[in-house]
Amino acid sequence: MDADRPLIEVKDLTLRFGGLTALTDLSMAVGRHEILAVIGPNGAGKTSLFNCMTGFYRPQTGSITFDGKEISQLPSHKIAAMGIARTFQNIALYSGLSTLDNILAARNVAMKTGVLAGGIFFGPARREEVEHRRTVEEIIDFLEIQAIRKHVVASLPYGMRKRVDLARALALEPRVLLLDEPMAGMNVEEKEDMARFIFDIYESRRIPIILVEHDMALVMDIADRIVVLDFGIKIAEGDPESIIQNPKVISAYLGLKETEFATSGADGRRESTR
Amino acid sequence: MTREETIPQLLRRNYERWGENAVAMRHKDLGIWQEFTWSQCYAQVKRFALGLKALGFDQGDTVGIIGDNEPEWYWTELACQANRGTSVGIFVDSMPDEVKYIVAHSEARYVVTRDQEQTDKILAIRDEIPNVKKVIYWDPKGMWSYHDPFVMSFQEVQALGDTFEADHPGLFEESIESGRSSDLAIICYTSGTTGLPKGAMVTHLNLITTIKQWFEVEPWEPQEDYLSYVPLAWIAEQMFCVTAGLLSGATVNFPERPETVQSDIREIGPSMILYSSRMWESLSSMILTKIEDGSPIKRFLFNLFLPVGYRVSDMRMERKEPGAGWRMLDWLADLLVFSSLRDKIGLKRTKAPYTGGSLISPGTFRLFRAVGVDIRQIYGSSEAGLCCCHRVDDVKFESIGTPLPGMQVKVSPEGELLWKGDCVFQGYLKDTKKTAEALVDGWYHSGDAAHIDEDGHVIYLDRMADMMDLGSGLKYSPQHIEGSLKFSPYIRDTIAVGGKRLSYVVALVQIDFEFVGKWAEKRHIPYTTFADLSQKPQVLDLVEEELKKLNLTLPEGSRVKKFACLHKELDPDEEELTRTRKLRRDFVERKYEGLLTAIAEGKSTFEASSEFKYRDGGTGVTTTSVSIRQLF
Repeated sequence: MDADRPLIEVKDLTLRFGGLTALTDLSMAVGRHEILAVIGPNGAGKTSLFNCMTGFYRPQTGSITFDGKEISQLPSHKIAAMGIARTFQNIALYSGLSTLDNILAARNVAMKTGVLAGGIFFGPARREEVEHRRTVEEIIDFLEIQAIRKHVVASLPYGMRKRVDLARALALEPRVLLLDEPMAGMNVEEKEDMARFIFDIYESRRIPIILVEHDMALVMDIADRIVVLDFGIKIAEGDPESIIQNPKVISAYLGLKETEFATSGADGRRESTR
Repeated sequence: MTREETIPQLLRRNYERWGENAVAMRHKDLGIWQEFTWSQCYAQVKRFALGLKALGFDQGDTVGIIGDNEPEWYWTELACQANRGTSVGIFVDSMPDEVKYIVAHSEARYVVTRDQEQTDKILAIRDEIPNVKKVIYWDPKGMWSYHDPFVMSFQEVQALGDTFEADHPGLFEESIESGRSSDLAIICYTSGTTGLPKGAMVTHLNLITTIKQWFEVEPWEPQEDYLSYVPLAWIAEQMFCVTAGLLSGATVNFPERPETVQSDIREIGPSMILYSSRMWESLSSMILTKIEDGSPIKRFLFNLFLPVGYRVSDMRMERKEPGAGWRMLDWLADLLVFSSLRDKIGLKRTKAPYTGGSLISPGTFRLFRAVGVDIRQIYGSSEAGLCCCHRVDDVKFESIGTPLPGMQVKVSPEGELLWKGDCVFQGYLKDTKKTAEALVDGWYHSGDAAHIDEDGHVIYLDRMADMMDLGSGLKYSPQHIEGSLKFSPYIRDTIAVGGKRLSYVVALVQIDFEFVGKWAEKRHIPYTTFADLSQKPQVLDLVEEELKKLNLTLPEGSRVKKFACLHKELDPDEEELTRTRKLRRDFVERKYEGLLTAIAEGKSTFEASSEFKYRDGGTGVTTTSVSIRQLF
């Protein structure tokens, strides 16, 4: 594996829905060890970009390579099996299943024994099940959701469901994690918890994390690098300090005055959260 | 015969006795109850103890421990004591200032923490605690980026212990054998309501004695399970989880996380459990809320059978055998409702549910006893072990139980509860003044005002500091009297007045208008207003009965001698109560000055005129003849 080459490379990506162009000639790269934030006003194309990377949308032109392999035309389950895991803006879980079952379900990607062996549940199938359960339990422990292990997801509060969604993504043992608005709709305490979990994942698994997020102060705090989209076009890219001073970025954020924008991110970078 | 007089010596005894054949503790981890046999526990303790030795631990050193109840907490304490050191538990939710004070004051040389959060707390104050040589954590989560030689993991210390063992074989065993019952086992910091926490020095003898006395009342069996939930930094858990667990060989179970205890306890079904009164109270409100949210059938059955439970448990408490009819109903209630309720809260197999800490409210106490959870009060202190407890067949909810066997207990002439025995501590660390106040001729001065009734039950009245004076020179507890009377359905509020000019206690009682009103209607007693109802002879009889019952629980000199029923309700609008319905004592005493004077002069009635405000701002005056009654 070439350690210097980016893990994901997006080249000249264009995505159209009929006459509407969601992404225009977008190029960017994701390094092997960074927290990258993708920001932009509503409709800028952030989620579309994620959807292209995970096979939910097929871009018309351009390419996305993951570790050197072209993935832009692959179906999403194949991409997931390669190691790109994501969470969803509006949480995609089996609401009738328990937390534990939801996370276990994500492990089927890694299951090797077939339907028949699984049905008999003997020998290798049983051993495999035990192994998966252990992996899942480690994630439950990691994200501190032991108390809701057996709770049906539909009965959980929103912040907890977000955490289960993240657990489900981690169960895929990803090589890169895409988080779509992981902190939307959370209160301050839940946001702090989530930020801590993102760091812990980053540090313990040593995988890159890409996140879409609206809370500027938080993005400035945790991201190493930021890509700014506006109307499907990349208007800026760089470290948080350079982004908050970029006039294009400031004008893209209508309603957010230059000073407001600057102060929201000026309270220090990641070191300050330690 | 090897000695069994220290806590590590008890661990060694259990290791030799049961080894691989019995489970010493369980901890739920990764969703599974992980079991540790006595051999495994012994090995864990040994490796950590030797690791500490390798770091330079000397006899008499102190280790601070801060974290949730988990096996490592227990092993750290035992390891430290096996090295003839002392452990100091610190509450998980302590503020950094408090942690700093305790760590510095106890001169801890090592602090063992559970996780990143607690480690950070210590790192934040490291410059102010130069006595600390190392911080040792046992949960590595979030600790990946700490590369500080000041910080080590529990496992690293144990690995040091393995190497140390190779060079010093037999050292651990010798160290355990050399332990003396007079060694300090723990320093237990008590958070005084005023001033800085005091460190009570507790020896192995203190802990073991108190539990031996306790076992004469409530023996634990090796095959039984105990659930460790209240903080290990609290003396009660040191007595139960550590000392009683080791002394009996019962299995100690640690929940996965504090928040999972409700499901963990169901899986264990412990025989013994200790909750603080606050936990019982929140459990009771949880039950009532769940019943409210439950299906109509469940609600109906619960409400139908709860009175049966109350009735039968009351009869049992008064030691009357319920008749066949009641027994039948109780059996049915248990079958249909109570047994599954106990199962839901994980107490189905619990033979000994204890409550400790502050007093439990009678309402909660009665509710649990009604559904078949026979809560028993235990009373003790950090300084002097367990003093008294309820016996299975001898429970009074106004009492804190009867003294444990082998214990000398008495009430001082000032009304303070004192006790004496091998369970009494060695004094406060570095505080001879406070020690001299708490220990006089071996008698521990609890600071609690109490009274021992004719059945030998100890009745807690109040903190000594909150007792009020009487003209007779004796003291009485207004809060105890007022609080106890609140549980009478007929009485809404009471003011217990004494002071220098009265040599006895006077109770001014406000009846519960609604309840007494219904009571009067049922008995065809006509009345018009509150003032009228409050002075009916039948109502006065009713209140007199309640006061007589209360007097039985009070020491002779501070019983309620005279009472009057207030002719009007106490009202926040008239500043007699605060908005949160707390009594404004001084104000009320001044307001009823005339009535109190009449009582002091021995009159039997008082013409009370009360001014009242109309809504339009005008005032009016009414006059009522208030009766004054004497009880003895």
